[in-house]
Amino acid sequence: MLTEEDKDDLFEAICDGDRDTVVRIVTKARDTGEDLGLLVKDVMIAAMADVGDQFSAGEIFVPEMLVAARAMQGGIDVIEPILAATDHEPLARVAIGSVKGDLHDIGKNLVVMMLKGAGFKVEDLGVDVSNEAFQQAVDRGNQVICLSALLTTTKPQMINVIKHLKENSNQAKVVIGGAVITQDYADKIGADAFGEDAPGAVRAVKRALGLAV
Amino acid sequence: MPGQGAAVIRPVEEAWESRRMEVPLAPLLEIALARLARQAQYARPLAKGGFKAAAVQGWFDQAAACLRALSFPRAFIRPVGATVTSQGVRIADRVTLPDEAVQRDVEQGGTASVYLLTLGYAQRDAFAWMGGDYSAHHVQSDLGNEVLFALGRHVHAEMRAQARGARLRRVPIQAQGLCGQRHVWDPSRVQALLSIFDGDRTGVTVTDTGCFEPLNSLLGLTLRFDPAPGGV
Repeated sequence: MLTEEDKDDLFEAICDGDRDTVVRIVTKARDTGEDLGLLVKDVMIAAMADVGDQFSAGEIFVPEMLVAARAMQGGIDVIEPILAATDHEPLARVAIGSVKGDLHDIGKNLVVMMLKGAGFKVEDLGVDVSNEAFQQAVDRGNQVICLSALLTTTKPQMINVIKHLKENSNQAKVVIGGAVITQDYADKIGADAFGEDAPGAVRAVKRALGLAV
Repeated sequence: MPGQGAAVIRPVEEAWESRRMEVPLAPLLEIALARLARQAQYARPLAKGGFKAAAVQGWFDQAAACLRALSFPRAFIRPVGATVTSQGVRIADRVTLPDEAVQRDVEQGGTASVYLLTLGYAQRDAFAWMGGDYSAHHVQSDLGNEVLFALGRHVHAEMRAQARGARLRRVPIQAQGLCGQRHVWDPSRVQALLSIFDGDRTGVTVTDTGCFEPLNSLLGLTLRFDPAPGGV
């Protein structure tokens, strides 16, 4: 079993981007019968949330967030086969894509990484995603649909997606974000939540699902 | 509105010949990597050393390898006629630019060329090349932007060398990544301007929403002002 010191070290190693230490401690946890679901939730996801807060506060830049996500993923790779074989459930299933006409993927990709780091199962639909492809993602059981747009010319496409989903009895929540998106716009077009940056998108998805205030 | 008076028709002046330049990647990459490392977002983790610096340096290496594998920087230059109309400056009799600064330049005797720069690879191919590694792909995207800007500076320097004594001014039409500043022209007009290069097999297209494909492409005008004969 891990000691409290081990858990503190794991938390710090994720924040520092020390992948080797993350892998070592998580391997020890796996080999000594630790409750891995609890470890992910209480330590690893908490560490990534801390990193996200640092980014949103302007204390770190994107590359440092990437380094932390890479370290976190090193640990997840060790324990994922075990989690998959048990009853461990992700926080929720989320599909994400850049809307039709938008070929930009950088912002979307950051959100993918942060959502995974927060314990969500994420389906990346890519760029230039049609209304039908978003609907099919809902049909596959995704509980949240995240729409990304970088351009003022592609922003209105979000309205079309939301309309299309509603016409098809959509049960999923819709979260939007991107360089040209604001909370006012999200309210105006009937999105369930708006993420102002990648960690903000995680908070928005949680808000949309009622997992956070 | 610019140009309220009678239209001023300017003849097409062959300031430059039409050119297609295939620019070696290596020197552009060297400049781009140095500039990327100086960006605060990368300079800070690099300066910290340890795991963060090692990870960032590793991504730099991966991104550079990706560009070496996929990128082939090219530039296309085509002289065009510029006509001042009541709506603005009409370029190549295809598209009108309502830009007062450009109109003033043309009225002062400037001649225009359209340039198209591209790195020639799709981001989806880069993502696949990097094995779906989101972090490495992100750094590759930043590096690609820097290489594109280095290509632009290189091409501008070449044009300047070809036009010694003349003053040049670049007017970028749309720049990847500058989402807040890219709508100097709407997408249909960008498509119209890009059509100047139809037949050059550039491999560059613009979607109805204004996205270049490949994303790392740049279209713009270069205005050239030659000194008056006998002038200082």
